Amino acid sequence: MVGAATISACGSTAGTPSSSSSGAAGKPVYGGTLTIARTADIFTFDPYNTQDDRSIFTEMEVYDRLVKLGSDGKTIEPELATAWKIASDGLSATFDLRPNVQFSDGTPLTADDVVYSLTRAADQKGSWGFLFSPVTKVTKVSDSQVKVTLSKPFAPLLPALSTFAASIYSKANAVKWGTQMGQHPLGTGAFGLQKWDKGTQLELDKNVHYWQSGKPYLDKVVFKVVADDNSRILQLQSGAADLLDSVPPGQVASLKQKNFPVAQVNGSAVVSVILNEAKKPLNDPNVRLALSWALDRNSIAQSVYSGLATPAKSLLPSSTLYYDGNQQPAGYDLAKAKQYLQKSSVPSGFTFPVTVPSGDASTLATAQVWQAALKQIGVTLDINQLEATTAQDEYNTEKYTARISPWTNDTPDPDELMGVALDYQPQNGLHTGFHNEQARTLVTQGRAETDAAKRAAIYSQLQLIANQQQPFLPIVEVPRLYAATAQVGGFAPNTQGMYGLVNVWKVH
Amino acid sequence: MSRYVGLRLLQMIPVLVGVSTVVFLLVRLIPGDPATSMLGSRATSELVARVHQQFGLDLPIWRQYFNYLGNVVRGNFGESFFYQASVSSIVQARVLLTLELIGYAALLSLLIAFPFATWAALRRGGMADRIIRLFFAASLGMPSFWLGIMLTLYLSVRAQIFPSTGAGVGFQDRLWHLTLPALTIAVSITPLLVRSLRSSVIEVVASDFVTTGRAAGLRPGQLLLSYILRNSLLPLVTVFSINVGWLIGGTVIVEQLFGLPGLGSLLITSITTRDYGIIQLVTLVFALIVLMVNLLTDLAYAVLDPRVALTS
Repeated sequence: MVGAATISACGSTAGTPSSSSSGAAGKPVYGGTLTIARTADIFTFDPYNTQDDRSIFTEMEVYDRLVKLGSDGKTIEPELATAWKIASDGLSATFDLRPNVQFSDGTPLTADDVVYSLTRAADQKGSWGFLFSPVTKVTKVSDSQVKVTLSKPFAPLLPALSTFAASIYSKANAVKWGTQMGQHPLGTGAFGLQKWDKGTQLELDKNVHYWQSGKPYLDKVVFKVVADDNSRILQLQSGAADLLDSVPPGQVASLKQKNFPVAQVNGSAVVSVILNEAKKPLNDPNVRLALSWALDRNSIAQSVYSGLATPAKSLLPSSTLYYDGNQQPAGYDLAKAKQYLQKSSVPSGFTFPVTVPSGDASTLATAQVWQAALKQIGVTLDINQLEATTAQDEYNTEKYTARISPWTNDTPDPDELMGVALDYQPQNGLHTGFHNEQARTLVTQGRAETDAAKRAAIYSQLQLIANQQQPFLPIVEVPRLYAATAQVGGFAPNTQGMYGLVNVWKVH
Repeated sequence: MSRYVGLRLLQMIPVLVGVSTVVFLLVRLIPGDPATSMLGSRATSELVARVHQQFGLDLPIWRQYFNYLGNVVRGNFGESFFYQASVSSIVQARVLLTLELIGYAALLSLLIAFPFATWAALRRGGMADRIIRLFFAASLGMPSFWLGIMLTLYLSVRAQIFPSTGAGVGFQDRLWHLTLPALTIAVSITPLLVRSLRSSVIEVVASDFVTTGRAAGLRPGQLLLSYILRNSLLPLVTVFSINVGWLIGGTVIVEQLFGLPGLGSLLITSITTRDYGIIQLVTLVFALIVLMVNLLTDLAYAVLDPRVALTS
């Protein structure tokens, strides 16, 4: 449950600037260009309709937000807001804005920019409006204060405001570009967009007007698209790239051995089997429990993820607030799996398919471990490899039977996942067809409850329901993996996937 | 000659229309569309409908097709969903690099094939011949995704001679950057050239006019360059033109491997994101390259062999 990882070969404490084994990156240095190799380019800089992780992570660098996630991954700290007050009835919150903040073009940040950005964020027609559903309006109180009004008390407000979706950007710039705003961002973040060769390279330049004095250290950050896993690693070794994200788990040991520091962020993603209850007999909870008890989570964590993953005990990633790993999680026990199957509608077993995106070696290996165990209880698993977008379409249109995929949190609050997974209203329970009225009521209660102890009880109860009913079979918790050269210092990505480039330097 | 070329160019039009029609329908047959790739797991039917409307995907397919054809005639290949820019500007920015890569790979394969094939042919059955044939038979079996990584590992990471990525700026730098990618592609096609050139050289060496030339006292170097090689070229040109498609296929993998912003890597990304407009134009450009090379091949026949007459 580490909220932030620091890049270091010898494992320094989270959140502090690193010292790598070579010692080259010990002290911050100004200037230089950091080159980051990623698997693909981003879609957009407009949080309103952002979908892919890479766009999210890049928006986090270009924009600031009112509040940010602390280095423990749970507490909320000031960013563009210096202080805030939540009304005693829980129906509004007032934020004091940091004075003298400028956008990267030198224009000043005003309360109007904040009102504009947050009003768009809370638009229920936007892709991320669900994160802010009780927000009815955002208004300007004075030049240095804005107020968020709520229809009912809303516990996840601050965590939601720390996500990329609540990024603050220039109203004048957004109005000027209209629908093209996603290609022309203007924020107050440590870096601003300089040049974008679509599909090839994205260049961010240091924001010389940045509000934190003495930061950032780097002059320039270049994101290069290198699709092939092996090529990315060779680029790190040849010095063509300084930093990689999405490092394949199987490569971590060899990189460490060659003295390339590897950063690992745990607790933000859980890989699960998602079952479509419209396909019989997956509508039978005993069948789902049998399938779950046949998942050898330990062996998957060790062999498939090279020991970098851990067995999952909840559908929530462990860094989530109110995560509870004690609510009767399923383990690996074939005798138990057989018992559940005996009690089910298909005591002598059945055959079903699972979809795996082609080219995804880890997911395929996970499915194969499961397949071997299921065979022993009389269940035949057919592994279907499908091109990634085709697999996505099969899932979205609910034509799939079972699918293995990760869930990644954007906020530390459990409401993001619970709101779509266990409340069937918004997305049919993440396309499982899991309808449970009790769970739905608890999700609504959890969102409105402001007492921490009572909220904890509600989310423990929800995790218990999930483990007893198993609409999702949590398999393993997987880390985000990054690798860098020994010249890179201060790199401490957080559970939201934020690189935190403002604190990064490069010895040159 | 110009009449012949004009006619051949006209004949390309129906082929290109055919290719674009098939591709237009094929990309829409694959499950998943731009909305799926843009919206991912959070696609609600409302959001999907909005994306469909934005890009005209809610229209019946025949109307989409006629809109597309109508726009193409006017030189408008539409907007890219992913890049939010005109398709032609994106393809234009990348086409030169791919052409350079193909050209460089072709040149390298010829530079390798000529000396080895000739050497093997002149020492037919000898040790050199056997070693050359064995070596190229082995290289034929090397997949380019593996060879590219090996070349990068040894020549760029370890020996630090060539850069591992990027396209370079300026002629010399570009040449330097494209060497490993071009070599990777060249290795896959060179064995075919070596094999065909070797056998045609053997055939020509045994022919009467070579014996006559030798008897007339021509120097061996002159005999080889002016008589033997020129007469051995025709089959090579054929093999080469047939394999241009193979060269283009090679760029798709190699550009991805070396992080080169050309048409091949663009095609892969666009298929994943279901960026219909780009897939359509890139396949059209590839088809055009193949047709142009075939035309040039036929012209080359006429130049190399005066007996070939260009009639349509």
